[in-house]
Amino acid sequence: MKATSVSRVPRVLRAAASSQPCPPLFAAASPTAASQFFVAPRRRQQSPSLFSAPPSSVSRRAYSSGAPPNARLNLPIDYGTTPLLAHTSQAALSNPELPAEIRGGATKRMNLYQAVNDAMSIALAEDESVLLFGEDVAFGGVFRCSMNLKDTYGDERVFNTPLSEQGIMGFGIGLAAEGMRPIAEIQFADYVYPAFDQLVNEAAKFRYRDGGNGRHVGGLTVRMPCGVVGHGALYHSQSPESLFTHIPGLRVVLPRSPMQAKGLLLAAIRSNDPVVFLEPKILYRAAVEQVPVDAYELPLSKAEVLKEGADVTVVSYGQPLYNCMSAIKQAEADFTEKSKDGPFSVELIDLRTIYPWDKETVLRSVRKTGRCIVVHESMVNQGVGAEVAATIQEDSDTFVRLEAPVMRVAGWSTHMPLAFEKFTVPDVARIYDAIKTSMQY
Amino acid sequence: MAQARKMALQDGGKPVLLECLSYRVGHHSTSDDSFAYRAKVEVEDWKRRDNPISRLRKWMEARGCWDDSKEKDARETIRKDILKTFNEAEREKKPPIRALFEDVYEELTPDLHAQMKQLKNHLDKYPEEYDVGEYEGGKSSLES
Repeated sequence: MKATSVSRVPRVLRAAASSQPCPPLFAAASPTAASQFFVAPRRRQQSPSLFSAPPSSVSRRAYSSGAPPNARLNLPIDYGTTPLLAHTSQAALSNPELPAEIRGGATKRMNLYQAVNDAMSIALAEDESVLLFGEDVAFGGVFRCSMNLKDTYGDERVFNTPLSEQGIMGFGIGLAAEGMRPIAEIQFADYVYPAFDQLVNEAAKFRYRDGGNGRHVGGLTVRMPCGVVGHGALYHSQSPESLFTHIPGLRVVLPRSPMQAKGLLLAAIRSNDPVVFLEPKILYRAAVEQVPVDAYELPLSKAEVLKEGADVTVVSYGQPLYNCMSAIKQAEADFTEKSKDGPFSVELIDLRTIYPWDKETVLRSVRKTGRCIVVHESMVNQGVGAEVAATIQEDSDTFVRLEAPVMRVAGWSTHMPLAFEKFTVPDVARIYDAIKTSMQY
Repeated sequence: MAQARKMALQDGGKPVLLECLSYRVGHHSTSDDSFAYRAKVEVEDWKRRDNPISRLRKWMEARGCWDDSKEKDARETIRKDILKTFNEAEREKKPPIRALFEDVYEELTPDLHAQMKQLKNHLDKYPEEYDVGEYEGGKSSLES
Protein backbone atom coordinates (compact mmCIF):
# COMPACT_ATOMS: atom_id res chain seq x y z
CA MET A 1 0.00 0.00 0.00
CA LYS A 2 2.81 2.42 0.76
CA ALA A 3 4.24 2.16 -2.74
CA THR A 4 0.79 2.66 -4.17
CA SER A 5 0.08 5.75 -2.11
CA VAL A 6 3.42 7.27 -3.06
CA SER A 7 2.49 7.21 -6.75
CA ARG A 8 -0.90 8.81 -6.31
CA VAL A 9 -1.91 12.38 -5.67
CA PRO A 10 -2.05 13.10 -1.93
CA ARG A 11 -5.63 12.48 -0.86
CA VAL A 12 -6.12 16.03 0.33
CA LEU A 13 -5.65 17.26 -3.24
CA ARG A 14 -8.08 14.75 -4.63
CA ALA A 15 -10.61 15.56 -1.94
CA ALA A 16 -10.31 19.21 -2.88
CA ALA A 17 -10.84 18.36 -6.54
CA SER A 18 -13.91 16.28 -5.84
CA SER A 19 -15.51 18.98 -3.73
CA GLN A 20 -15.62 21.42 -6.64
CA PRO A 21 -18.53 21.13 -9.09
CA CYS A 22 -16.21 21.68 -12.04
CA PRO A 23 -12.52 22.00 -11.11
CA PRO A 24 -10.62 24.16 -13.63
CA LEU A 25 -7.95 21.53 -14.22
CA PHE A 26 -10.33 18.83 -15.33
CA ALA A 27 -12.60 21.19 -17.21
CA ALA A 28 -9.71 22.31 -19.37
CA ALA A 29 -7.78 19.09 -19.54
CA SER A 30 -7.71 16.08 -21.78
CA PRO A 31 -7.47 12.61 -20.26
CA THR A 32 -3.73 12.70 -20.80
CA ALA A 33 -3.56 15.75 -18.59
CA ALA A 34 -5.73 13.98 -16.05
CA SER A 35 -3.17 11.21 -16.07
CA GLN A 36 -0.38 13.75 -15.73
CA PHE A 37 -2.13 15.21 -12.73
CA PHE A 38 -1.66 11.90 -10.95
CA VAL A 39 1.71 10.96 -12.31
CA ALA A 40 3.67 14.20 -12.39
CA PRO A 41 1.89 17.36 -11.22
CA ARG A 42 4.69 19.48 -12.69
CA ARG A 43 3.47 18.59 -16.16
CA ARG A 44 0.45 20.75 -15.61
CA GLN A 45 2.71 23.41 -17.10
CA GLN A 46 2.26 21.86 -20.54
CA SER A 47 1.11 24.31 -23.18
CA PRO A 48 -2.72 24.56 -23.29
CA SER A 49 -2.65 24.39 -27.07
CA LEU A 50 -1.59 20.78 -26.74
CA PHE A 51 -5.05 19.82 -25.58
CA SER A 52 -6.81 21.44 -28.51
CA ALA A 53 -4.83 19.38 -31.02
CA PRO A 54 -6.82 17.04 -33.29
CA PRO A 55 -7.70 13.60 -31.84
CA SER A 56 -5.23 11.78 -34.07
CA SER A 57 -2.38 13.42 -32.21
CA VAL A 58 -3.47 11.81 -28.95
CA SER A 59 -1.37 8.69 -29.31
CA ARG A 60 1.27 6.82 -27.42
CA ARG A 61 3.87 9.25 -28.84
CA ALA A 62 2.08 12.47 -27.98
CA TYR A 63 5.00 13.49 -25.79
CA SER A 64 7.86 12.12 -27.86
CA SER A 65 9.44 13.69 -30.90
CA GLY A 66 7.17 11.63 -33.16
CA ALA A 67 8.08 8.69 -35.38
CA PRO A 68 11.74 8.31 -36.40
CA PRO A 69 12.28 10.04 -39.76
CA ASN A 70 12.75 6.82 -41.74
CA ALA A 71 10.07 4.79 -39.98
CA ARG A 72 7.75 2.98 -42.34
CA LEU A 73 5.74 0.89 -39.92
CA ASN A 74 5.67 2.60 -36.52
CA LEU A 75 3.72 5.66 -37.58
CA PRO A 76 1.10 7.23 -35.34
CA ILE A 77 -2.33 5.66 -35.69
CA ASP A 78 -4.59 7.90 -37.73
CA TYR A 79 -7.85 7.43 -35.87
CA GLY A 80 -9.52 9.72 -38.36
CA THR A 81 -9.18 7.20 -41.17
CA THR A 82 -8.71 3.75 -39.63
CA PRO A 83 -11.34 1.30 -40.94
CA LEU A 84 -11.84 0.06 -37.37
CA LEU A 85 -13.99 3.12 -36.67
CA ALA A 86 -17.31 4.02 -38.28
CA HIS A 87 -16.63 7.45 -39.75
CA THR A 88 -20.05 7.79 -41.35
CA SER A 89 -23.56 7.19 -40.13
CA GLN A 90 -23.99 4.61 -42.87
CA ALA A 91 -20.89 2.71 -41.77
CA ALA A 92 -22.15 2.60 -38.18
CA LEU A 93 -25.66 1.47 -39.06
CA SER A 94 -24.49 -1.26 -41.43
CA ASN A 95 -23.27 -3.29 -38.44
CA PRO A 96 -25.23 -6.57 -38.66
CA GLU A 97 -25.15 -7.02 -34.89
CA LEU A 98 -27.37 -4.00 -34.35
CA PRO A 99 -31.13 -4.54 -33.94
CA ALA A 100 -33.29 -3.56 -36.92
CA GLU A 101 -34.85 -0.53 -35.24
CA ILE A 102 -31.39 0.82 -34.41
CA ARG A 103 -30.12 0.28 -37.94
CA GLY A 104 -32.90 2.53 -39.15
CA GLY A 105 -32.27 5.20 -36.52
CA ALA A 106 -29.98 8.16 -35.99
CA THR A 107 -26.31 8.33 -35.05
CA LYS A 108 -24.15 10.92 -33.36
CA ARG A 109 -20.42 11.53 -33.42
CA MET A 110 -18.93 10.36 -30.10
CA ASN A 111 -15.56 9.54 -28.66
CA LEU A 112 -15.09 6.68 -26.21
CA TYR A 113 -15.77 8.62 -23.01
CA GLN A 114 -18.89 10.16 -24.51
CA ALA A 115 -20.17 6.73 -25.54
CA VAL A 116 -19.57 5.40 -22.03
CA ASN A 117 -21.38 8.44 -20.64
CA ASP A 118 -24.27 7.87 -23.04
CA ALA A 119 -24.57 4.19 -22.08
CA MET A 120 -24.63 5.02 -18.37
CA SER A 121 -27.15 7.80 -18.94
CA ILE A 122 -29.47 5.40 -20.76
CA ALA A 123 -29.08 2.80 -18.01
CA LEU A 124 -29.76 5.35 -15.26
CA ALA A 125 -32.80 6.65 -17.15
CA GLU A 126 -34.41 3.29 -17.86
CA ASP A 127 -33.86 1.54 -14.52
CA GLU A 128 -34.05 3.15 -11.09
CA SER A 129 -31.99 0.35 -9.57
CA VAL A 130 -28.93 1.54 -11.52
CA LEU A 131 -26.46 3.65 -9.52
CA LEU A 132 -23.00 5.00 -10.32
CA PHE A 133 -20.31 5.66 -7.72
CA GLY A 134 -16.59 5.75 -7.19
CA GLU A 135 -13.82 8.27 -6.58
CA ASP A 136 -14.57 11.69 -8.12
CA VAL A 137 -17.45 10.52 -10.33
CA ALA A 138 -19.83 13.22 -9.07
CA PHE A 139 -18.27 16.15 -10.92
CA GLY A 140 -17.84 14.08 -14.07
CA GLY A 141 -14.95 11.77 -13.32
CA VAL A 142 -11.27 12.23 -14.08
CA PHE A 143 -11.89 11.11 -17.68
CA ARG A 144 -15.29 12.80 -17.99
CA CYS A 145 -17.19 9.53 -18.32
CA SER A 146 -19.80 10.67 -15.79
CA MET A 147 -20.22 14.30 -16.95
CA ASN A 148 -23.68 15.71 -16.07
CA LEU A 149 -24.99 12.41 -14.72
CA LYS A 150 -25.26 13.63 -11.13
CA ASP A 151 -27.15 16.75 -12.21
CA THR A 152 -29.52 14.68 -14.34
CA TYR A 153 -30.16 11.70 -12.09
CA GLY A 154 -29.48 13.06 -8.61
CA ASP A 155 -26.79 12.74 -6.00
CA GLU A 156 -28.40 9.68 -4.44
CA ARG A 157 -27.73 7.73 -7.65
CA VAL A 158 -24.47 9.30 -8.87
CA PHE A 159 -22.10 10.01 -6.01
CA ASN A 160 -18.54 10.03 -4.71
CA THR A 161 -17.33 7.40 -2.27
CA PRO A 162 -14.48 7.61 0.23
CA LEU A 163 -11.09 6.78 -1.31
CA SER A 164 -11.14 3.05 -0.66
CA GLU A 165 -11.25 0.51 -3.48
CA GLN A 166 -12.14 -2.41 -1.22
CA GLY A 167 -14.95 -0.31 0.22
CA ILE A 168 -16.21 0.63 -3.26
CA MET A 169 -16.28 -3.02 -4.30
CA GLY A 170 -17.84 -4.35 -1.11
CA PHE A 171 -20.43 -1.58 -1.23
CA GLY A 172 -21.30 -2.51 -4.82
CA ILE A 173 -21.57 -6.18 -3.91
CA GLY A 174 -23.95 -5.32 -1.07
CA LEU A 175 -26.16 -3.29 -3.41
CA ALA A 176 -26.19 -6.02 -6.06
CA ALA A 177 -27.00 -8.66 -3.45
CA GLU A 178 -30.15 -6.65 -2.70
CA GLY A 179 -31.16 -6.56 -6.36
CA MET A 180 -29.70 -3.21 -7.40
CA ARG A 181 -27.58 -2.68 -10.51
CA PRO A 182 -24.55 -0.71 -9.28
CA ILE A 183 -21.87 0.61 -11.63
CA ALA A 184 -18.73 0.83 -9.51
CA GLU A 185 -15.85 2.81 -10.96
CA ILE A 186 -12.25 2.06 -10.08
CA GLN A 187 -10.39 5.17 -11.18
CA PHE A 188 -7.48 3.28 -12.81
CA ALA A 189 -7.26 -0.47 -13.37
CA ASP A 190 -3.92 -0.24 -11.58
CA TYR A 191 -5.80 0.44 -8.33
CA VAL A 192 -8.22 -2.47 -8.47
CA TYR A 193 -5.89 -4.67 -6.40
CA PRO A 194 -7.04 -3.38 -2.99
CA ALA A 195 -10.48 -4.66 -4.09
CA PHE A 196 -9.23 -7.99 -5.38
CA ASP A 197 -10.38 -9.99 -2.38
CA GLN A 198 -13.90 -8.56 -2.71
CA LEU A 199 -13.96 -9.42 -6.41
CA VAL A 200 -12.46 -12.90 -6.19
CA ASN A 201 -13.79 -14.25 -2.91
CA GLU A 202 -17.13 -12.43 -2.79
CA ALA A 203 -18.50 -11.13 -6.10
CA ALA A 204 -17.38 -14.08 -8.20
CA LYS A 205 -18.44 -16.78 -5.75
CA PHE A 206 -21.64 -15.27 -4.36
CA ARG A 207 -24.14 -17.18 -6.52
CA TYR A 208 -22.19 -20.44 -6.40
CA ARG A 209 -21.86 -20.29 -2.63
CA ASP A 210 -25.52 -19.36 -2.18
CA GLY A 211 -26.60 -22.42 -4.15
CA GLY A 212 -30.29 -23.22 -3.93
CA ASN A 213 -31.03 -20.03 -2.01
CA GLY A 214 -30.75 -18.25 -5.34
CA ARG A 215 -29.16 -14.98 -4.23
CA HIS A 216 -26.52 -13.45 -6.51
CA VAL A 217 -24.71 -10.21 -7.32
CA GLY A 218 -25.36 -10.37 -11.06
CA GLY A 219 -26.29 -6.69 -11.18
CA LEU A 220 -22.73 -5.57 -10.43
CA THR A 221 -20.65 -3.87 -13.13
CA VAL A 222 -17.12 -2.69 -12.34
CA ARG A 223 -15.69 -0.14 -14.78
CA MET A 224 -12.03 0.84 -14.92
CA PRO A 225 -9.74 2.67 -17.34
CA CYS A 226 -6.88 0.43 -18.51
CA GLY A 227 -3.96 0.27 -20.90
CA VAL A 228 -1.05 2.49 -21.85
CA VAL A 229 -1.45 6.18 -22.48
CA GLY A 230 2.04 7.24 -23.47
CA HIS A 231 3.43 8.15 -20.09
CA GLY A 232 1.42 6.38 -17.41
CA ALA A 233 4.42 4.40 -16.13
CA LEU A 234 3.88 1.73 -13.46
CA TYR A 235 0.52 2.71 -12.01
CA HIS A 236 -1.46 4.27 -14.86
CA SER A 237 -0.84 1.82 -17.70
CA GLN A 238 -1.79 -1.64 -16.53
CA SER A 239 -3.99 -4.12 -18.36
CA PRO A 240 -5.01 -6.63 -15.69
CA GLU A 241 -7.62 -8.49 -17.75
CA SER A 242 -5.68 -11.76 -17.52
CA LEU A 243 -5.98 -11.74 -13.75
CA PHE A 244 -9.77 -11.57 -14.00
CA THR A 245 -10.00 -14.36 -16.56
CA HIS A 246 -8.75 -16.83 -13.98
CA ILE A 247 -11.76 -16.11 -11.76
CA PRO A 248 -14.86 -18.21 -12.56
CA GLY A 249 -18.01 -16.20 -11.99
CA LEU A 250 -16.80 -12.91 -13.49
CA ARG A 251 -17.30 -11.75 -17.05
CA VAL A 252 -14.43 -9.70 -18.47
CA VAL A 253 -15.19 -7.26 -21.29
CA LEU A 254 -12.88 -4.84 -23.14
CA PRO A 255 -14.21 -2.67 -26.02
CA ARG A 256 -12.25 -1.27 -28.96
CA SER A 257 -14.34 1.75 -29.96
CA PRO A 258 -17.14 4.12 -28.89
CA MET A 259 -19.91 2.14 -30.60
CA GLN A 260 -18.62 -1.11 -29.13
CA ALA A 261 -18.25 0.45 -25.69
CA LYS A 262 -21.83 1.69 -25.59
CA GLY A 263 -23.38 -1.61 -26.70
CA LEU A 264 -21.13 -3.81 -24.58
CA LEU A 265 -21.48 -1.64 -21.46
CA LEU A 266 -25.28 -1.69 -21.70
CA ALA A 267 -25.14 -5.47 -22.08
CA ALA A 268 -22.89 -5.64 -19.02
CA ILE A 269 -25.19 -3.49 -16.89
CA ARG A 270 -28.21 -5.56 -17.88
CA SER A 271 -26.39 -8.89 -17.52
CA ASN A 272 -27.21 -11.05 -14.52
CA ASP A 273 -23.56 -11.91 -13.93
CA PRO A 274 -20.98 -9.56 -12.39
CA VAL A 275 -18.96 -7.91 -15.17
CA VAL A 276 -15.51 -6.32 -15.11
CA PHE A 277 -15.53 -3.68 -17.86
CA LEU A 278 -12.13 -2.33 -18.90
CA GLU A 279 -11.90 0.89 -20.93
CA PRO A 280 -8.70 1.58 -22.92
CA LYS A 281 -8.06 5.12 -21.75
CA ILE A 282 -5.84 6.15 -24.66
CA LEU A 283 -9.00 5.85 -26.77
CA TYR A 284 -11.21 7.98 -24.52
CA ARG A 285 -10.68 11.00 -26.77
CA ALA A 286 -8.73 9.55 -29.68
CA ALA A 287 -11.33 7.10 -30.97
CA VAL A 288 -14.22 9.04 -32.53
CA GLU A 289 -17.00 7.54 -34.60
CA GLN A 290 -20.70 7.66 -35.35
CA VAL A 291 -22.65 5.91 -32.58
CA PRO A 292 -26.37 5.05 -32.65
CA VAL A 293 -28.13 7.43 -30.28
CA ASP A 294 -30.72 4.96 -28.96
CA ALA A 295 -30.17 2.05 -26.60
CA TYR A 296 -28.69 -1.15 -28.00
CA GLU A 297 -26.73 -4.11 -26.69
CA LEU A 298 -23.89 -5.95 -28.31
CA PRO A 299 -23.49 -9.62 -27.40
CA LEU A 300 -21.22 -10.68 -24.54
CA SER A 301 -18.93 -13.71 -25.01
CA LYS A 302 -18.98 -13.17 -28.76
CA ALA A 303 -15.91 -12.26 -30.80
CA GLU A 304 -16.16 -10.23 -33.99
CA VAL A 305 -14.33 -10.85 -37.25
CA LEU A 306 -13.27 -7.33 -38.22
CA LYS A 307 -11.62 -8.27 -41.47
CA GLU A 308 -11.77 -11.51 -43.46
CA GLY A 309 -8.54 -13.14 -44.59
CA ALA A 310 -7.23 -16.46 -45.85
CA ASP A 311 -3.61 -16.80 -44.70
CA VAL A 312 -3.16 -15.66 -41.09
CA THR A 313 -5.52 -15.07 -38.17
CA VAL A 314 -4.68 -12.19 -35.84
CA VAL A 315 -6.53 -12.13 -32.50
CA SER A 316 -6.53 -9.09 -30.24
CA TYR A 317 -8.74 -6.64 -28.32
CA GLY A 318 -8.74 -3.01 -27.21
CA GLN A 319 -6.29 -0.44 -28.56
CA PRO A 320 -3.75 -2.98 -29.95
CA LEU A 321 -6.31 -3.77 -32.66
CA TYR A 322 -5.46 -0.46 -34.32
CA ASN A 323 -1.78 -1.43 -34.42
CA CYS A 324 -2.81 -4.81 -35.84
CA MET A 325 -4.80 -3.16 -38.60
CA SER A 326 -1.84 -0.97 -39.56
CA ALA A 327 0.51 -3.95 -39.58
CA ILE A 328 -1.93 -6.02 -41.63
CA LYS A 329 -2.36 -3.28 -44.20
CA GLN A 330 1.39 -3.02 -44.64
CA ALA A 331 1.91 -6.79 -44.67
CA GLU A 332 -0.76 -7.31 -47.32
CA ALA A 333 0.98 -4.70 -49.45
CA ASP A 334 4.46 -6.18 -48.96
CA PHE A 335 3.92 -9.95 -48.97
CA THR A 336 3.25 -11.12 -52.49
CA GLU A 337 5.40 -14.25 -52.68
CA LYS A 338 3.36 -16.46 -50.38
CA SER A 339 -0.35 -16.75 -50.86
CA LYS A 340 -2.94 -19.36 -51.70
CA ASP A 341 -6.16 -18.86 -53.63
CA GLY A 342 -5.38 -15.26 -54.46
CA PRO A 343 -3.55 -12.34 -52.85
CA PHE A 344 -2.09 -12.69 -49.36
CA SER A 345 -4.70 -11.73 -46.77
CA VAL A 346 -4.99 -11.59 -42.99
CA GLU A 347 -8.08 -12.15 -40.86
CA LEU A 348 -8.47 -9.88 -37.80
CA ILE A 349 -10.61 -10.85 -34.80
CA ASP A 350 -11.63 -8.71 -31.83
CA LEU A 351 -12.26 -10.96 -28.80
CA ARG A 352 -14.30 -8.23 -27.04
CA THR A 353 -15.20 -10.52 -24.15
CA ILE A 354 -11.94 -11.87 -22.72
CA TYR A 355 -13.75 -14.41 -20.53
CA PRO A 356 -15.89 -16.43 -21.02
CA TRP A 357 -14.49 -16.04 -24.50
CA ASP A 358 -15.69 -17.06 -27.94
CA LYS A 359 -13.56 -20.08 -28.75
CA GLU A 360 -15.57 -21.19 -31.74
CA THR A 361 -15.04 -18.00 -33.76
CA VAL A 362 -11.28 -18.16 -33.22
CA LEU A 363 -11.00 -21.90 -33.89
CA ARG A 364 -13.07 -21.63 -37.06
CA SER A 365 -10.82 -18.87 -38.33
CA VAL A 366 -7.59 -20.73 -37.55
CA ARG A 367 -8.93 -23.88 -39.23
CA LYS A 368 -9.31 -21.73 -42.34
CA THR A 369 -5.99 -19.87 -42.24
CA GLY A 370 -3.70 -22.38 -40.51
CA ARG A 371 -1.81 -19.65 -38.62
CA CYS A 372 -2.53 -17.56 -35.55
CA ILE A 373 -0.97 -14.54 -33.86
CA VAL A 374 -2.35 -13.19 -30.58
CA VAL A 375 -1.62 -9.59 -29.67
CA HIS A 376 -2.10 -7.93 -26.28
CA GLU A 377 -0.50 -5.16 -24.28
CA SER A 378 -0.16 -6.94 -20.97
CA MET A 379 2.73 -9.28 -20.22
CA VAL A 380 3.25 -12.25 -22.45
CA ASN A 381 3.61 -14.69 -19.52
CA GLN A 382 0.28 -16.24 -18.55
CA GLY A 383 -1.48 -13.75 -20.80
CA VAL A 384 -4.59 -14.12 -22.92
CA GLY A 385 -2.35 -15.33 -25.75
CA ALA A 386 -1.37 -18.36 -23.68
CA GLU A 387 -5.03 -19.36 -23.24
CA VAL A 388 -5.77 -18.90 -26.95
CA ALA A 389 -2.67 -20.85 -28.00
CA ALA A 390 -3.41 -23.75 -25.65
CA THR A 391 -7.03 -23.92 -26.81
CA ILE A 392 -5.99 -24.03 -30.47
CA GLN A 393 -3.53 -26.82 -29.76
CA GLU A 394 -6.04 -28.85 -27.73
CA ASP A 395 -8.67 -28.77 -30.45
CA SER A 396 -7.95 -31.76 -32.66
CA ASP A 397 -9.56 -30.28 -35.79
CA THR A 398 -7.61 -27.05 -35.44
CA PHE A 399 -4.28 -28.47 -34.32
CA VAL A 400 -3.89 -30.55 -37.49
CA ARG A 401 -4.42 -27.41 -39.55
CA LEU A 402 -1.57 -25.42 -37.99
CA GLU A 403 1.15 -24.46 -40.49
CA ALA A 404 3.18 -22.58 -37.88
CA PRO A 405 3.27 -22.30 -34.09
CA VAL A 406 0.77 -19.92 -32.53
CA MET A 407 2.66 -16.69 -31.99
CA ARG A 408 2.21 -14.08 -29.28
CA VAL A 409 3.08 -10.40 -29.59
CA ALA A 410 2.71 -8.87 -26.15
CA GLY A 411 4.27 -6.75 -23.44
CA TRP A 412 7.53 -8.07 -22.01
CA SER A 413 7.48 -9.73 -18.62
CA THR A 414 8.33 -6.47 -16.88
CA HIS A 415 6.43 -3.64 -15.29
CA MET A 416 5.34 -0.82 -17.59
CA PRO A 417 8.28 1.58 -17.70
CA LEU A 418 7.97 5.33 -18.08
CA ALA A 419 10.92 5.94 -20.36
CA PHE A 420 10.73 2.73 -22.40
CA GLU A 421 7.02 2.39 -23.09
CA LYS A 422 7.51 2.44 -26.84
CA PHE A 423 9.82 -0.58 -26.68
CA THR A 424 7.34 -2.48 -24.51
CA VAL A 425 3.96 -2.24 -26.21
CA PRO A 426 3.20 -4.51 -29.19
CA ASP A 427 3.73 -1.90 -31.89
CA VAL A 428 3.08 -2.09 -35.62
CA ALA A 429 6.60 -3.26 -36.48
CA ARG A 430 6.50 -6.14 -33.99
CA ILE A 431 3.11 -7.29 -35.24
CA TYR A 432 4.25 -6.97 -38.86
CA ASP A 433 7.33 -9.04 -38.02
CA ALA A 434 5.21 -11.76 -36.41
CA ILE A 435 3.02 -11.99 -39.51
CA LYS A 436 6.16 -12.30 -41.62
CA THR A 437 7.74 -14.91 -39.33
CA SER A 438 4.56 -16.97 -39.25
CA MET A 439 4.31 -16.93 -43.05
CA GLN A 440 7.97 -17.88 -43.47
CA TYR A 441 7.88 -20.69 -40.89
CA MET B 1 -30.27 -3.99 19.70
CA ALA B 2 -33.81 -2.67 19.48
CA GLN B 3 -32.59 0.86 20.12
CA ALA B 4 -29.83 0.45 17.53
CA ARG B 5 -32.34 -0.67 14.93
CA LYS B 6 -34.57 2.28 15.77
CA MET B 7 -31.67 4.72 15.40
CA ALA B 8 -30.56 3.12 12.14
CA LEU B 9 -33.97 3.47 10.52
CA GLN B 10 -35.25 6.88 11.62
CA ASP B 11 -34.58 10.26 9.95
CA GLY B 12 -32.96 8.80 6.85
CA GLY B 13 -30.90 6.40 8.89
CA LYS B 14 -27.46 6.43 10.39
CA PRO B 15 -24.93 3.68 11.11
CA VAL B 16 -24.61 2.21 14.58
CA LEU B 17 -21.72 0.24 16.03
CA LEU B 18 -22.31 -2.43 18.66
CA GLU B 19 -19.28 -4.06 20.26
CA CYS B 20 -20.38 -7.19 22.12
CA LEU B 21 -17.71 -8.36 24.55
CA SER B 22 -17.56 -12.13 24.97
CA TYR B 23 -15.17 -15.05 25.18
CA ARG B 24 -14.64 -17.90 22.72
CA VAL B 25 -15.15 -20.99 24.86
CA GLY B 26 -14.81 -23.62 22.17
CA HIS B 27 -11.83 -24.16 19.92
CA HIS B 28 -11.74 -21.89 16.88
CA SER B 29 -12.71 -24.88 14.74
CA THR B 30 -12.40 -28.65 14.60
CA SER B 31 -8.93 -28.16 13.10
CA ASP B 32 -7.78 -26.00 16.01
CA ASP B 33 -6.55 -27.13 19.43
CA SER B 34 -6.81 -23.89 21.36
CA PHE B 35 -5.04 -25.28 24.44
CA ALA B 36 -1.86 -24.93 22.43
CA TYR B 37 -2.09 -21.18 23.03
CA ARG B 38 -4.25 -20.67 26.16
CA ALA B 39 -4.73 -22.31 29.57
CA LYS B 40 -7.67 -24.63 30.24
CA VAL B 41 -8.43 -22.85 33.50
CA GLU B 42 -9.11 -19.64 31.57
CA VAL B 43 -11.74 -21.43 29.50
CA GLU B 44 -13.29 -23.13 32.54
CA ASP B 45 -13.67 -19.78 34.29
CA TRP B 46 -15.71 -18.29 31.45
CA LYS B 47 -17.69 -21.47 30.94
CA ARG B 48 -18.74 -21.62 34.58
CA ARG B 49 -19.01 -18.00 35.64
CA ASP B 50 -20.13 -16.00 32.68
CA ASN B 51 -21.95 -18.39 30.38
CA PRO B 52 -24.87 -16.71 28.54
CA ILE B 53 -27.00 -19.86 28.72
CA SER B 54 -26.43 -20.29 32.44
CA ARG B 55 -27.20 -16.63 33.06
CA LEU B 56 -30.42 -16.74 31.06
CA ARG B 57 -31.45 -19.93 32.81
CA LYS B 58 -30.94 -18.35 36.22
CA TRP B 59 -32.91 -15.30 35.17
CA MET B 60 -35.78 -17.45 33.89
CA GLU B 61 -35.81 -19.56 37.05
CA ALA B 62 -35.88 -16.42 39.17
CA ARG B 63 -38.97 -15.28 37.27
CA GLY B 64 -40.61 -18.67 37.67
CA CYS B 65 -40.88 -19.56 33.97
CA TRP B 66 -38.24 -22.31 34.05
CA ASP B 67 -37.38 -25.17 36.37
CA ASP B 68 -35.43 -28.44 36.58
CA SER B 69 -38.28 -30.42 35.09
CA LYS B 70 -38.52 -28.19 32.02
CA GLU B 71 -34.73 -28.24 31.68
CA LYS B 72 -34.69 -32.04 31.70
CA ASP B 73 -37.53 -32.28 29.16
CA ALA B 74 -35.95 -29.70 26.87
CA ARG B 75 -32.56 -31.41 26.90
CA GLU B 76 -34.12 -34.77 26.03
CA THR B 77 -36.38 -33.40 23.31
CA ILE B 78 -33.70 -31.28 21.67
CA ARG B 79 -31.17 -34.11 21.79
CA LYS B 80 -33.69 -36.51 20.24
CA ASP B 81 -34.61 -34.03 17.48
CA ILE B 82 -30.99 -33.31 16.62
CA LEU B 83 -30.00 -36.97 16.50
CA LYS B 84 -33.03 -37.80 14.37
CA THR B 85 -32.15 -35.05 11.87
CA PHE B 86 -28.48 -36.04 11.99
CA ASN B 87 -29.32 -39.63 11.07
CA GLU B 88 -31.67 -38.52 8.29
CA ALA B 89 -28.97 -36.25 6.86
CA GLU B 90 -26.42 -39.08 6.98
CA ARG B 91 -28.71 -41.32 4.93
CA GLU B 92 -29.47 -38.64 2.34
CA LYS B 93 -27.65 -38.67 -0.96
CA LYS B 94 -25.30 -35.82 -1.75
CA PRO B 95 -26.44 -33.27 -4.38
CA PRO B 96 -26.10 -34.19 -8.07
CA ILE B 97 -22.53 -33.93 -9.38
CA ARG B 98 -23.94 -31.51 -11.92
CA ALA B 99 -24.18 -28.89 -9.17
CA LEU B 100 -20.38 -28.72 -9.30
CA PHE B 101 -20.71 -26.75 -12.55
CA GLU B 102 -23.92 -24.81 -11.92
CA ASP B 103 -24.35 -21.31 -10.50
CA VAL B 104 -20.86 -20.16 -11.47
CA TYR B 105 -22.69 -17.85 -13.86
CA GLU B 106 -26.43 -17.40 -14.24
CA GLU B 107 -26.29 -19.70 -17.26
CA LEU B 108 -23.94 -22.60 -17.94
CA THR B 109 -21.22 -21.29 -20.27
CA PRO B 110 -20.02 -23.33 -23.26
CA ASP B 111 -16.74 -23.94 -21.41
CA LEU B 112 -18.47 -25.32 -18.33
CA HIS B 113 -20.81 -27.38 -20.46
CA ALA B 114 -17.86 -28.91 -22.31
CA GLN B 115 -16.07 -29.61 -19.02
CA MET B 116 -19.17 -31.27 -17.57
CA LYS B 117 -19.27 -33.57 -20.59
CA GLN B 118 -15.54 -34.21 -20.23
CA LEU B 119 -16.02 -35.32 -16.62
CA LYS B 120 -18.95 -37.55 -17.64
CA ASN B 121 -16.83 -39.27 -20.29
CA HIS B 122 -14.04 -39.75 -17.77
CA LEU B 123 -16.40 -41.35 -15.23
CA ASP B 124 -17.75 -43.62 -17.97
CA LYS B 125 -14.21 -44.65 -18.80
CA TYR B 126 -13.05 -45.29 -15.22
CA PRO B 127 -16.15 -46.43 -13.30
CA GLU B 128 -14.16 -48.42 -10.75
CA GLU B 129 -12.12 -45.38 -9.71
CA TYR B 130 -15.07 -43.33 -8.41
CA ASP B 131 -18.01 -43.98 -6.11
CA VAL B 132 -20.83 -42.02 -7.72
CA GLY B 133 -23.56 -43.96 -5.92
CA GLU B 134 -23.71 -41.53 -3.02
CA TYR B 135 -24.65 -38.65 -5.33
CA GLU B 136 -28.19 -37.99 -6.50
CA GLY B 137 -28.59 -39.30 -10.03
CA GLY B 138 -25.04 -40.66 -10.12
CA LYS B 139 -23.03 -39.71 -13.17
CA SER B 140 -26.14 -39.35 -15.33
CA SER B 141 -26.76 -35.92 -13.78
CA LEU B 142 -23.82 -34.77 -15.91
CA GLU B 143 -25.77 -35.36 -19.11
CA SER B 144 -27.00 -32.18 -20.76
